[in-house]
Amino acid sequence: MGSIKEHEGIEVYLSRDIIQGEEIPFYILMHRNDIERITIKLKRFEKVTEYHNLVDNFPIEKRVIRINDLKSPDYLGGILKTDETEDPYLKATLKLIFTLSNGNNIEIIEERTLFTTHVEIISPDLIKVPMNKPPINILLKGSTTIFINIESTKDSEIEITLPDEIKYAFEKIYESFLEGMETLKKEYPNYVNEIDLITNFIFDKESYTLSKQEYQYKFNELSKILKSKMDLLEGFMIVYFNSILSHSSIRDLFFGPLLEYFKSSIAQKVFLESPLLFLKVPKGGGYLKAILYYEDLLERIKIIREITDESISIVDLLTKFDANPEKNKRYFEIFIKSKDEIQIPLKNFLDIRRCFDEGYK
Amino acid sequence: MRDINSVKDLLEAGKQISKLIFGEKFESLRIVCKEDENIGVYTATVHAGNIVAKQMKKRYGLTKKFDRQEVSFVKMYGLKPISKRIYDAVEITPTEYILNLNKIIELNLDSFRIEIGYRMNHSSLEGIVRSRSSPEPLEDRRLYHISAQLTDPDSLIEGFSECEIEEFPITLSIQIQEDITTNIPFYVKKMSEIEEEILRDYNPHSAIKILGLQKQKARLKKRFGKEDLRSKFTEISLFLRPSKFRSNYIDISGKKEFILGDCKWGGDIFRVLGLTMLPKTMEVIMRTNLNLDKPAASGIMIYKSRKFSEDIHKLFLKKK
Repeated sequence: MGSIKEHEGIEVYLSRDIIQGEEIPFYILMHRNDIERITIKLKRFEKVTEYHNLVDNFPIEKRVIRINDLKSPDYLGGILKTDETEDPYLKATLKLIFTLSNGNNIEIIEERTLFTTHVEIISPDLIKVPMNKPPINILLKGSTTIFINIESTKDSEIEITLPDEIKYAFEKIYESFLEGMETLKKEYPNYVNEIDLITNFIFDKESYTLSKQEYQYKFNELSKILKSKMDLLEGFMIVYFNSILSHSSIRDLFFGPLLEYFKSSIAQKVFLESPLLFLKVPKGGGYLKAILYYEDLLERIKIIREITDESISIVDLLTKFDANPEKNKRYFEIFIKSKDEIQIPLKNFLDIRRCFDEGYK
Repeated sequence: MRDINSVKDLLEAGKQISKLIFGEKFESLRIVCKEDENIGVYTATVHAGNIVAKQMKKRYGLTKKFDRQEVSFVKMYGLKPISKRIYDAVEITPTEYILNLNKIIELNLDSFRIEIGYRMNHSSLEGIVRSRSSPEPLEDRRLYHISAQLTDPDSLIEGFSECEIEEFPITLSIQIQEDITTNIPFYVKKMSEIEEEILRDYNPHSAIKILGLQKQKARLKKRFGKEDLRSKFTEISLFLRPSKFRSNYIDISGKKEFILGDCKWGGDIFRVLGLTMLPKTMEVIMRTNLNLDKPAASGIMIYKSRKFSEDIHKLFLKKK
């Protein structure tokens, strides 16, 4: 099943596997010289946001293109914007009508499915621990890959947190890292500001979340910025690795990440960002107030694009990571009753299921 | 001179050089996309054979300097009567390339070629190429759709006989984590958990618990045969090396307008705490050429996920 359709000397390309909200390129290559105009009709695609190879100042809202509007012959390209909708399997069509010099029309219709996933949380008001089965049901309707992150809110009586020993390891590494960075400042007095920035950027002491992929992005971005300052980069790498290696056991370095890797894949095409998180339930219990954040690959790719954009400053980047998007979040509140103080893996509370449409498994 | 940030700058730089060279010229611009930078190559093939051009030769008497931070290479080739690269037409200093156009007269060249490779900023292709790769396969789990197209091919050609974008890269990210985790048997995961727990528990009072864990470990160990857990993971990591992945599990279907480029582990290899030996994604680069005659290209990359899953599964079958 290819995406290109050749019909009477006209090639039309429209991408496939579209996630709602994406901007999709299309192009037309014409191998005949009797075409007079092209009419574009969209159904469920929101609009055309770009035309390629058209004369300057061609109005973007115009849907009829005369052959003279093409700058160089035989080629027309463009970008279609898609909308986010309630339907996880929305059908959209691009209809192209080629009017020939003899008055006849050639019609080419391209239909695509626009995919998304909807997330629903079904949770009881009260949970008693220990539990027989995971009480929080997360239902995913749709086919796209989803990454889930759950955080407790500031006023929650039950905290969602990393196990103490991981936190402790982080603190040790952090201290050692800070010391190293101070030494680095003495070595490179010209880069004091940059070094401070890096320190805050890499280790945000407020959030010890082990597997936030953001650290990966941050690190990549940093090394890119530092590439132009090779000498500083060298020093920084030494400090960074030393602080990790000198304070980590084989357990932290090998088994920790391995278990995280295994545990983060929790259902078909669903990944939990921090699978090692725990719920700290106090004696007698308390209210858990939490927010589930989720994103699809499209949002993830957007972040990667932004951070690889050289024109964005390190400061702007920082603020981007701090802000959680307003959409794609679900708030939930549960009273958890427990006789004793207890720590339970967050994973044990979650029952995640997917429902697919027939034909899209 | 300014930095080359866009194709427009490159066109401008090319025109500057063009002014210095007389004769019947065939000028082209190629943008060669490489792993770490894009090089904008200005090429002028000049036939100075006719009389007018010969007279013009008098005016050559000059040299042109290029900053080595901006320019990656400068080359001159003789075409007629001698046909070879003329190394001594370009003097290389620690900071500059100095192109000596006097060589043309000295060697009495009728035709020659000059190539100048400008370093282009990473984002220099933005605005002139739009590309897409499917973020994930949804209609058919093996297929990834890719395409690239020029936004304004006409503007590229302006003033030049030819313009080509060579090996424009599109990076595809294949999520392989699920294929890996679902094919690593339960006993391996359990063993990892037990090892982790044994290492975690320093509390001397929990000797009984440790004993229990050691017993479980001994039982599981039989499943591993002669190997231990860590050597097993070395084996998996080796199995997952990008070159092997690229040649065994990636293919191109359809019109083959794209060629297969490099492959590497993507995402979370480096972490804040610890190093993992298993990648979450595999990044594959697909490359295509675009020019005025071929302003758009599309293709399909096949990820042989079933074969990949089966082969991971096979790694754990008992060796006889």
